[in-house]
Amino acid sequence: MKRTRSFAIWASLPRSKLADIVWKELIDALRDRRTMVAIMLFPMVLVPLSLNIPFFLMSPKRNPPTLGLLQLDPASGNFTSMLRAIGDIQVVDISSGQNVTELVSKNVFDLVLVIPENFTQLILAGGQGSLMAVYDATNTKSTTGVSIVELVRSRYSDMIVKERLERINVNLSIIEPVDLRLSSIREVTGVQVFAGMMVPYFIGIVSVLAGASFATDTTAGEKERRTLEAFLTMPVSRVRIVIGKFLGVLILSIISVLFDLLGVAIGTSVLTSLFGEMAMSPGVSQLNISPWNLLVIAVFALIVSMTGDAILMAVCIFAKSFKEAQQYSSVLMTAFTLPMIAVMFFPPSVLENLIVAPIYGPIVVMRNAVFNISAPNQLLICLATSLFYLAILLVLAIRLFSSERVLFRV
Amino acid sequence: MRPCRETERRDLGLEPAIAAQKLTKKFGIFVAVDHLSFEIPKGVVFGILGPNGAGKTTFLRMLSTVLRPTEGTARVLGYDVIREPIKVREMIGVLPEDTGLYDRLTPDETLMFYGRLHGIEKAKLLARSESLISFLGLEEKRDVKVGNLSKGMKQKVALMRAIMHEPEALFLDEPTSGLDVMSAREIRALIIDWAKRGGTVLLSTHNLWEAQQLCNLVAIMNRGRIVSTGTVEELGTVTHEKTLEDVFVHLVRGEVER
Repeated sequence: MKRTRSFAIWASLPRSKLADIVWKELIDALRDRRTMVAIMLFPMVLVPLSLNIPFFLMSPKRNPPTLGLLQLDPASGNFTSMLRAIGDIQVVDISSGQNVTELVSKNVFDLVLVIPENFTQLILAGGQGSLMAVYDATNTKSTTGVSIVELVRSRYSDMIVKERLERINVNLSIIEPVDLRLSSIREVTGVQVFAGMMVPYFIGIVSVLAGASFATDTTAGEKERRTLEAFLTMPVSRVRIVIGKFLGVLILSIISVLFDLLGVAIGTSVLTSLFGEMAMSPGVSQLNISPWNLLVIAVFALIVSMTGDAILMAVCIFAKSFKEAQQYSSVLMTAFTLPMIAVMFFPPSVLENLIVAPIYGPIVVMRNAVFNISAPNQLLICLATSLFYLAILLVLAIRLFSSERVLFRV
Repeated sequence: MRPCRETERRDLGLEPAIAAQKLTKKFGIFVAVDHLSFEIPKGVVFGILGPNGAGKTTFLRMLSTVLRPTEGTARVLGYDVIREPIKVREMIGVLPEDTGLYDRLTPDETLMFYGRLHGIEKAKLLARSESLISFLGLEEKRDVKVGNLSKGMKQKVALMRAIMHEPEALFLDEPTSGLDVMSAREIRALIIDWAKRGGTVLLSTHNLWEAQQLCNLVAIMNRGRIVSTGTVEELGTVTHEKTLEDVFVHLVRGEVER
C-alpha cells in the first residue's frame, strides 16, 4: 500500500503529543513554497550573491576598466609600461584629434588618460609633469580606473623622488621625517574584520526572517484558514500547542541558519576564488575562529532565533488576520535589523552595555566570538538575560493563545 | 421553552449525556447564549435549529470547550466543561462548520495526527484509519493533499477525524452544508449508523428536512435562548403545525413578535 514517507516517519515517532504537533508543523511548513523560498532560496542563493555581486562588479581582475591612452609624449614609455604591467586595467592607445570627453560620455572608454608632450621633459628637468584623466564620477568602473591610475602615478612618482634624492646624496627620511608604526592589541585578519560585521548580520537576519514566515503561517494563518477550532477540540493543552508550534518554527529557523552558513561559506570561498584577490579571498579559511568561539556563535545564533521566533509568535497570535500578522512581521523585521547593523558601528563601551538587551546581546556576543574576544562573564550574563526574555515572551504567547478575545477576535 | 421532562427520559431508559445549567456566553455587551438550562439524553440525535446568529455555533463551541462560558456551566458525559476540558475533549468528536482540515496534509496524515493526539495506540490507529478510509471510499485519495480534494471528500475526512477515536458524543455543525446529494446522503447514513450504535449526536443545522429525518429530539434556538424542545411530533402538537418548517417559523416568528 502506497503511503507518504512523512506518514511512515510519523507512525514511528515516540508517543508524544508535543512531537506530533512539531511534526505536523514541519510537514505543513515544508510543503509550502513560501517556506522553501525563505529556508533555502534566500540563504543559498541571495546570500552568496549579495556577498559577491558588489565585488564582482567592482573587481578589476574580473571586469577591468577600459582606459583610452592618449600618449602625446613618446618618451613616457616607463610610465606607460608600468600602467600596462599592473594588469587590472585594459589599456587601449588612442590617437590625437579625438574628443576625449565624448569618448568617456559615450562609454567608448571608462576613462581617458592624457600624457602631454612635455611630460618626461619636465620631470627630467626636475620639475613636475602633469597627467590628465577624464572620467565619469557616476560610473563605478571609471572611478576604479582612476584609483588604478592614481596607484601607478604614486609608484612612478615615488620612484622618481628616490632617484632624485639618491642623485644628490640625500636620505629619503628628509621628505618623510615622521613614521607611524601600528601595533594592534588584538591580532585579527582582514577577513575577520569583515566577518565580525557580516556574520552576526547574516545569521541574525536569516534566522529571524525564516521564523517570520513560519510564525505568521502557523498562528494567524491557522486562524484565517479556520483550522484552529478543530485543533482546539483535541485533548491537548494550549500550553503544549504553543510550545509545539514554537519548536516547529525554531527547527525551521535552525535549518534556515544552517543553509545560511552554507551560503556564507559558498559566498566567501567558492565564488570569491573565481573573482580574484580583489574579492574577499581567501575566504573562511582565514577566519581563525577557535572551536570554543564557533560553539559560542552557534549557541547564541540559536538564542537569536529563539527570541526572534518567540516575539514573532506572540505578535502573530495577537494578529486577527494573516495580512495583519504580515504587517506586524514587516515592522518587526526592520526593528530586528537595527541591532544587526548597529553592532558594526557601536564603540566597545556601548557594546558592553548592550549585552543585556534582547537580540542585541547575542549579536554582540557573536561579533566578539568572531574576534575571539568573548569573555566568560559576558557570555553568562547574556545567556541568563536572554533566557529570561525568552521565558517572558513564551508566557506572553501562551497567555495570548489562551485568550478568547485574541483567538476569536474578528 | 419546554425542557425535556425527566420522567419521560427515565421512561425511555435514557441518561443525560449533556447537561447545562444557566449556560451563558457574552461577547462584550452582546449575549450570544442566554442562560440555557437543558439536558440531552444519551444515545439520541439532538438537533439544534435556529436562524443565523441564534447562538448555535457558540453553544457548540462552549460544549466542545473551545469557548469558556461567561456564566453557568455544563457537563458533557459527566465532565465539567470549565474544570475538566481535556477530559471532555477525550470523550467528544467535533465537526466544526468549516472542516478545519490542514490542506497540506493527506487524509492518512490527518488521521495519524488527530488519532495520536487522542492517544490511540499505533496498531489500533492504523487499523481504524484503514477501516474508516475504506468505509468512506477514500482509498484512492488517501495520499492526495486534502487541499486537492472535493468539498464532499473533505467533509468525509473531517468526519473521520471526528469519529476515529470512537467518542461517545459527536458535535456536528452543519455537516451536510454545501454538499452534493450523494455526499450529503452518505454523511447522513453515517450519523444514523453512529446513533444506532449508542452514540449521542448533537447536530446544528439549517436543514429542517434533514433534522426531521435524523433527530430524535430537536431544540429551536433564537437570540441565544432555546424557544422550545422535544420530538418533532411534540413540537407539532404544541404549535398546531404539521411540518417542522412550519413549527420553526411559528416559534421563531412568535419569539420575534414577543
